[in-house]
Amino acid sequence: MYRYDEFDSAFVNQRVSQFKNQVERRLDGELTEDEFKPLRLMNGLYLQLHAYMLRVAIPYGVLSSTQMRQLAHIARTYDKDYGHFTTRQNIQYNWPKLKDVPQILQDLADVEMHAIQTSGNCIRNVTSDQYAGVAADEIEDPRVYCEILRQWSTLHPEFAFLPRKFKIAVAGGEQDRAAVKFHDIGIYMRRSDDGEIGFEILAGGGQGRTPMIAQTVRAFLPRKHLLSYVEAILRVYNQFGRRDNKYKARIKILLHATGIEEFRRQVEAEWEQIKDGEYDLPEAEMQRILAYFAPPEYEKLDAAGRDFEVHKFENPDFAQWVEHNVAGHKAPGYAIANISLKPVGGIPGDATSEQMDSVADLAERFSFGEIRVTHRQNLVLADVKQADLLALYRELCQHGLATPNHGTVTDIIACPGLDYCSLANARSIPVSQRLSEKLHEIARAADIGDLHLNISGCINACGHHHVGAIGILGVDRRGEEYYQISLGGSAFEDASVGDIIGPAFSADTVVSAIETIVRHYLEIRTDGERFIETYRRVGLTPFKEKLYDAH
Amino acid sequence: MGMYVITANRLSDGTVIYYTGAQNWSSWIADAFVCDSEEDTAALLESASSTKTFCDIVDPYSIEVYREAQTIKPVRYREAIRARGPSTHTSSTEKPMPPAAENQDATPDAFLNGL
Amino acid sequence: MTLIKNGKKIEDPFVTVSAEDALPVDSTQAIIVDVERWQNDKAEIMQRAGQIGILLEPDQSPDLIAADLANIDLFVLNFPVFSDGRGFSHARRLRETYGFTGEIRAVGHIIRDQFLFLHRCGVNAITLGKHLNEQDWDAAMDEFSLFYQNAVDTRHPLMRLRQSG
Repeated sequence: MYRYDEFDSAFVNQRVSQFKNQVERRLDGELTEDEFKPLRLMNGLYLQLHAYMLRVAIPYGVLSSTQMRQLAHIARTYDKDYGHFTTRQNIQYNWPKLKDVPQILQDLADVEMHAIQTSGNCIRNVTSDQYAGVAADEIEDPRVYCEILRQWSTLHPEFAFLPRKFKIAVAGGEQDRAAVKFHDIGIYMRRSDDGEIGFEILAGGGQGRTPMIAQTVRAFLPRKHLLSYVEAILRVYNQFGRRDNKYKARIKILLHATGIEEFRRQVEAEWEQIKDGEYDLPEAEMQRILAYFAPPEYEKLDAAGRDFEVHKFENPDFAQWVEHNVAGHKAPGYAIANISLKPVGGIPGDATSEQMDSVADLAERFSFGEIRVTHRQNLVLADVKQADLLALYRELCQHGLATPNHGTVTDIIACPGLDYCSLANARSIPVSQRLSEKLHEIARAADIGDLHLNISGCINACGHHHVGAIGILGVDRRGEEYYQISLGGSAFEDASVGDIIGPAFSADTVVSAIETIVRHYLEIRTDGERFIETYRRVGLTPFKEKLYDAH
Repeated sequence: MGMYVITANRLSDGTVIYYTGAQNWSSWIADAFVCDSEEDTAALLESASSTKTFCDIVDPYSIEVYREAQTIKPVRYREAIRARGPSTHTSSTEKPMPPAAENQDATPDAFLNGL
Repeated sequence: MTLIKNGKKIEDPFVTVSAEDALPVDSTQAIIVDVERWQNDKAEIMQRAGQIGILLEPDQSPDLIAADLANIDLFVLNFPVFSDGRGFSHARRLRETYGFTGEIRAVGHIIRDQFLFLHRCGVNAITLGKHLNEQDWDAAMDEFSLFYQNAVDTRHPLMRLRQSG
């Protein structure tokens, strides 16, 4: 993974000093709240319902064991012994004290981390595929370009006061595990007809109040032009994005209003002026960063060991965990292990300090000391020997981290909702907890298969409800919490936005409504058909009839 | 005729606080000074905002409350959650009850209100 | 009005001529006019001996003045609210696309934490106000010594510094 050099280290330390000074000025009363707010937001510090919330950047979701231990240390020392992993592949602390935040940022800087640009109308943490570098289908490791974009976007002087926040994701190949089409700029690595490596550049995707799927601005961009092209898009957006209404300020609205042809013309015209020269990625710098992401020294192993099959046969719980949580690796004899942060009835994405320390230890023992955070709020050990999976599984069981539900209906995405967030209209976590228990019960009797269930506590859609095969949106209806259900969303390469099924359900009835939908799917699915496939085959009506007849 | 109290967050740690009158604040809604008219509330908000330790208080505002069984409860559920702490099912995030307020919200279930 | 220009405190030699006002009688007086005034009275303004400044609002791109750039000594970029960042792009366009070498001044609602960004985008003057002073400008210039991206200022981006050793 990327390691800071002397320049990067000097830079984050300067940033910590700057914020320490700003906090002191605020606590002394020299800065008013109005003046301080934008400054703290630029360091990821929000004031939420009960306390401050600090959002720490985990660039493209990659952590070393050392960094994970520091995150545990911060939770233990300055917070209530836990942290919350988010759909932006970041971590949030829910209870830090303002006076402690400069020291927390110093602790982060000591392990090459920061909270820069995790809030505010600027370019946010660049996200990627959690299987980057180990997926068989990728053209090149997308994290190399995420890191280049991370550096370029850090304190970018022109783009710190955009119309609205700006999110970029990069995926390495055909398969999309990074919800690329729901980003302000989405990037897929591509190979041209003559074999050159480059990118397909998309723009205008997003969720929120007006969900939209990104459109292709340029089908193929050679690697060296990455920064000039992205800068051209940002410059068009900075000048022409709406600033009169924050719900219409994202680039998706601009692109929709301008039309893709005209938008492309503007971007290309801007790009013509700045491409070549200073913006070109120097080949040596690309190679320098590429070297950090070189594959670890894999041992030469046989594809599938006999022992592994025996272990699965003798231990059905292990076999079930392997079936759901383990994915194929490009190197023979290795596997990708997904660690679920979705225990049945638990809080999606939460991890205790003790769990973070355990994962750090396990990563060192089994996976070259590297951990990834996924946008579905889970963790990944990407380089585990197949022969070590049983030992890893047993350790995970000890720490409550072996829930065999990756990608299933109890692997729920949920935003913090009104239990923490000052923007929320309704609670998300207690709904997800009750749903998780109920759906677990159903899943014990019938294999529900892949079904992504996502819950947001407000229209900002941090819980990705638009792209859940089942999505739930919390709304405030005359002072009561209600939940609107949508079906048919997908964040993958077959991207789609869910359809709202009908009137919202109260907090008391939403769980049984979801149960009705899931049970109806079980009744009408054909052999091996996933929920999303059934939905695309039969449409909304059968579910709707079932739901509103029953309730 | 509604009843109102003034609330804010404490600057140093973000804690939810309530104005008790006389330039003082408490972490417990039970201690809050209750106004029963909008005009009085506006005056109280002004007094609260001019607290000498004003830089210790962030964004004071008024909320509507009602009395039930000798206690004060916010009308809106958002404020109920602010007053009580997260309603998620874990022990580490629950706001500890002050000794005097033990019976103000006896069971977490009552607070969960169906969730 | 007091300014900080190129890091030094100076008195502003320009006066702003609003839409209704007549141009100053003294033709050597440096003036600032808005884009509409410039477009309407260009011929008359160009007769004057004094320096000419143009005020650009956030929704007015320098492209509007591109043809006349050789006659302009100053661009004033207004920031009605600090969170409206269009002026940053306008400054860069003036410097990088049009090679404008005169003064670019930021006025309006600016916070000190923007000084370095403004400077990096090519702004070389700001007006001082109640909350802005000379020391803040100096301090802001020193807050960071390293930058990840190329911009208008001469500080090299890290990716090139690294390669030059």
